[in-house]
Amino acid sequence: MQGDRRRAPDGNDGGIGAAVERAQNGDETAFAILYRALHPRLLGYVHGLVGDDAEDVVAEAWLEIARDIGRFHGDGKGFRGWTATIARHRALDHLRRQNSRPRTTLLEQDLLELPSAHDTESQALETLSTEQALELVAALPRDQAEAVLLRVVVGLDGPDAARVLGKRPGAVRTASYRGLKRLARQLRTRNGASGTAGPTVTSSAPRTLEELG
Amino acid sequence: MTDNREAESRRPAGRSLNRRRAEELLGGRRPRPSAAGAAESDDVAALARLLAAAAGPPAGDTAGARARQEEALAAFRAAREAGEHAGVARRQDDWSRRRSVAKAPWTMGSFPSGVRSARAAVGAVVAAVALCGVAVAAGTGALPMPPGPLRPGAVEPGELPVTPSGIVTSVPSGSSSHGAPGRNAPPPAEGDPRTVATREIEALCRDYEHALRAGQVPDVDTLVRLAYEAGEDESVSEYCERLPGTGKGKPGEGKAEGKEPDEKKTGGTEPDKDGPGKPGEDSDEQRSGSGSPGTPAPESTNRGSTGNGQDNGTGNGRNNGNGTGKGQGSEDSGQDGTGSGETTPDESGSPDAPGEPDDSGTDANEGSGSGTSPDEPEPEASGTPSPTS
Repeated sequence: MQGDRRRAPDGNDGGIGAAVERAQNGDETAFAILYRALHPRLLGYVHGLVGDDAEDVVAEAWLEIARDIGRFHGDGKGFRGWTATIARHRALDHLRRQNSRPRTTLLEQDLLELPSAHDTESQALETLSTEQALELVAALPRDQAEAVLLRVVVGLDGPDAARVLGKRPGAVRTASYRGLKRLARQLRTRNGASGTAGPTVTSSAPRTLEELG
Repeated sequence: MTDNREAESRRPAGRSLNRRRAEELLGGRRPRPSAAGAAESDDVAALARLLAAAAGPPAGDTAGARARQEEALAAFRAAREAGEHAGVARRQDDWSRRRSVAKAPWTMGSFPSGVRSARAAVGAVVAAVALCGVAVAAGTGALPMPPGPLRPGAVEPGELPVTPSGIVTSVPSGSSSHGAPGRNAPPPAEGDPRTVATREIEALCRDYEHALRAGQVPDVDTLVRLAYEAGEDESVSEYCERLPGTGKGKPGEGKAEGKEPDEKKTGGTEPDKDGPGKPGEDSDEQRSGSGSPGTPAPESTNRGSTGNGQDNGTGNGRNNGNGTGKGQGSEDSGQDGTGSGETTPDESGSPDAPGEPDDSGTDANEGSGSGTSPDEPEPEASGTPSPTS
């Protein structure tokens, strides 16, 4: 189960916070711990922005983090936000350099071609790799993708994600909610296209979303 | 950018995806299937799997990943040696906040007990942390001893015990300078400034044990921290059992204890307590003092200047430690030092202030009123800046 890698948004960040403190005092081991703990998360997020260049971009971000860590003020939770902000800036720089647009171009047809689309939904998703899952999320409109990635992959809470994005928390909450709805629809579409359980799922629950959402 | 398709094809996204459940999913919790049956929560279940996969460890080429980590570590060393870690926080660097919730691990919703084999997961994380240490040591030859940031009285570089695997058994500057007991070291006695950190660790242990008892996977950051504290010769469980304050913790007790450090931090007990100790908390201290245009009680103002004093102290300490040759560094902190040391009375209008007001800063400060009560400069503020000179 991979879910345990994530933390609840308002959960404990004692480990990270302590490591930050030590790293700020020059403890390299602590910095390595931070790297290990946060690198995969930053990578997942940046991958959603720049695709295959994510490794290079995140490496750049880490150089900056290593240089500026002494400036950081805050706890472990804040440190996630701080590093995510740095990674985001590096990613945006990268995109600017490339003069290319962020990758929001994955078509739904591509989704249908993902492996195991002919399986039942649950089997298909069970086998979804991290990369495939990130592709799906990254294919959302950019604001939705970023909101979801910051929450789910980086592990930020709503307000911190909003600060990273420079938006209001409400806007980010809405964006992430829309992103999830869209993902759910895509997953169903995928499933429906495979001709198995799709129709029953999609037609059996009328109206309730509007009521609840 | 609300997509039109969304509105137009507003087929219900399954019965169970509503904002609350979306929030749960985004927060890393897997919502419980609705009582009405699994079919209804297909969407949520599918999303939960998708998001769990997205948050999972990415596959990567390990050689390249290691090289990149080494680059980052090298950059860290270089910056440390160049004194860059003494840099002053800019606005975008201040992520401090006043949310005590964030400090109380047990308030978090852990993963529901559906998680299989919590212990296996714990083992994996602990092993990963241990490997991490080894990898670092292997990559850098010996574990680096920070030449600069050592505070006076801290362990000398040469004295640091290094285990055969190259892992430092006592943390270079951390253990002596800010409170957390060194690796493997049993926590110090009550009354010691370190007790704050000790309590924190005890609280983490309780959290950890509680999660295990409940069949949940403890928070990964808790594990990282505890594994770090325990060192490599001891399992986290053993380490936690050894702590006096754990194992027998009642449920709920942890919460109270965990908050204590915070209260001390803001309420400020003895300046000394935080003074020599926690550079990491300077931000908080500093904000509560200099960030607010005057805090109500003289004592609070003192607190503020104490915060500044500490900050400068740390800054200078670092620079001196780094070698007196670093003109750049000492210029920075020298300025800082005189700024806050001499001008405590008008601290509210000090150059620090513009940088400080930020959402988190005001949280705490608003409540405390704004009676400017310029107090004399705290002796400590001017005293600490140059402890090492």
